[in-house]
Amino acid sequence: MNGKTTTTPDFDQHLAGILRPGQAPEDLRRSLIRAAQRHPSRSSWPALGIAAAITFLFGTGFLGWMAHRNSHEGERFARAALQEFMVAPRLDFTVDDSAGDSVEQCMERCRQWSIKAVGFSAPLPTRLADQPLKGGCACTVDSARAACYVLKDGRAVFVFDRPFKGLEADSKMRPVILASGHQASAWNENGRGYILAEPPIQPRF
Amino acid sequence: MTPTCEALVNEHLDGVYAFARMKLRQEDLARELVQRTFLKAFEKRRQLRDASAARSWLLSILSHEIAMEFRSSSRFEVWDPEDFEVLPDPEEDGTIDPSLLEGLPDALARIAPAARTLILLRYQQELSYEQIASHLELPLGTVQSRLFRAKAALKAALDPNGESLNGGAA
Repeated sequence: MNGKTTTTPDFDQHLAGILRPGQAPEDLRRSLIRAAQRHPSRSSWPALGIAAAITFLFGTGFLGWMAHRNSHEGERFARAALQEFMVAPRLDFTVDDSAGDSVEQCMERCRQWSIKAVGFSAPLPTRLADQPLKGGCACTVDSARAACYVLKDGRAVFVFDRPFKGLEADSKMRPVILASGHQASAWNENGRGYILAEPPIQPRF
Repeated sequence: MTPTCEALVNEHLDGVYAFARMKLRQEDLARELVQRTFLKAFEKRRQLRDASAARSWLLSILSHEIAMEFRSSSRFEVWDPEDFEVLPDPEEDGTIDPSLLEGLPDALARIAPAARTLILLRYQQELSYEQIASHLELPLGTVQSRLFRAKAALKAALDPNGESLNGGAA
């Protein structure tokens, strides 16, 4: 055997030792780490997907429900007001005919009373302002505070502090008519929501 | 479980870069292709089901990137079985003078690319024969025999005169 030969029983070990990877360039590592951090972890993908789907379903469902609810807000309040109307609410104030108030004076008294009773100014609607008033009361209709004015002819006007959604400004909805003959219609006027509840029309014969 | 992108970088960048560096022998090109490899790996990470196969998977992507690079620059490096047919069939897996191992990088550069790849996969990346077979899509026996020949070629390149090899010039 050649004199300078040193036998190494494990050439593979030498090879592995010499070829063992050193460190990659630091700037390459930093660049890749930054790129890695821009990728969300795999486990978060399904969670994000599920969250997005739930949000979408609930969101669209909720928005659909809200749209449906709002589109029928006038009708909903009209039905609720009719329930109040049919139980004949106890009046908080009555109008004294002997006082001989003018329409304007009567309107002003109603305005002042409503501010104290329900927290907002609740004028009578223009078309009913000259109707003889019996009295009024504060009430809650479908969880909303309202001023209720009862007219001498038996009708009642409910005034809300905001217009009804789904009804265009100053527009009127088709009246809700119950089997009993009671009916109610809702409309918006001057930034307020109004409902006129009426008793059944008596036949004239 | 699929590793995170950061884990891929932290655990495999050094190995993948070393492989590219030795295989390509061009630092700039190695950096570029390694960067491309990892960026592609981040995108395709969901394909990787087994974290223990990450290194082999990354090397597959790198090999593809290298092939694409060489193809586009008309320096396509093919995996040519003939590379192995022309190698001498050593009588045994001999030993070698350790001092000659200093010339290993140059010797690696002189052997056939396919043989170099096998050496790097086995001794640098420490892939098992099975992993190499899977990576190169070759039968296990073929990998073993070709690796044996590749080592013989490397030894011949390290010691052209065959003075220190057992079974060489006596």
